[in-house]
Amino acid sequence: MAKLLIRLTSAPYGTSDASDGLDFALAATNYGHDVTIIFEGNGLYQLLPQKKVNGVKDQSKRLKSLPFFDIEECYYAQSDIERQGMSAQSYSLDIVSDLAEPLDDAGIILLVEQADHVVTF
Amino acid sequence: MSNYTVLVTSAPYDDQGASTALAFCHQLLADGHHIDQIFFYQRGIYNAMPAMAPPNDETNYFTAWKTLNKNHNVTLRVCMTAGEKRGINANDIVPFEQTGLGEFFADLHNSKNLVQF
Repeated sequence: MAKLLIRLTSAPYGTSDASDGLDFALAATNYGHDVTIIFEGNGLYQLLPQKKVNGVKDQSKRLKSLPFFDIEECYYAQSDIERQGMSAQSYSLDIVSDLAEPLDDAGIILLVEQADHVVTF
Repeated sequence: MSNYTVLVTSAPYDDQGASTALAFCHQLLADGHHIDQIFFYQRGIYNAMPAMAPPNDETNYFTAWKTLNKNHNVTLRVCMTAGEKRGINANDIVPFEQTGLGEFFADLHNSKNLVQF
């Protein structure tokens, strides 16, 4: 069993990275690996409420299934909220706290150190 | 000496990742390391397209990976969910194996290192 850190760093629909990253994370738990997810940079936009987009899988809806796949460690980069110009006032960031917990830069470095493997999407 | 899994998520030509991955794999083998598997995922599956026809002064990645497999017996695996979606023809990608994330993660248990390009 390996401890995998999966970094989701892409906006939900600009590329297929968000969806492919999630597929990758879910498959890893099915094969006995321990998965931690962190949303960084543009990946934070995956945590915001989205309208249904035709022709692609609904990322919002799929992310809500994470607890059912034994992925309980789920974080977002707290300092990236500010770097991305996202504030609690302009976005309903309360949805963020439902899916992921805030983590500071030192905490992220610790996650990387503790992981056997790091994969970025 | 160590065991490696290499994950290729970069398309040939569009990204530098495929080129760097190839160089990295050659060096691993030259230094006596073992490559458990090279797994092609996302747009990385385009590396397994035999119909690619680059100009003479550019690398043909399909041939380059095929040569690596032939000379060193390295396992090349394509995620077929990613491949079929993009129109890859399962019949003519040999020596790339048609697999999925399941095989990738099952064998990842044996690898000490995972490197993504």
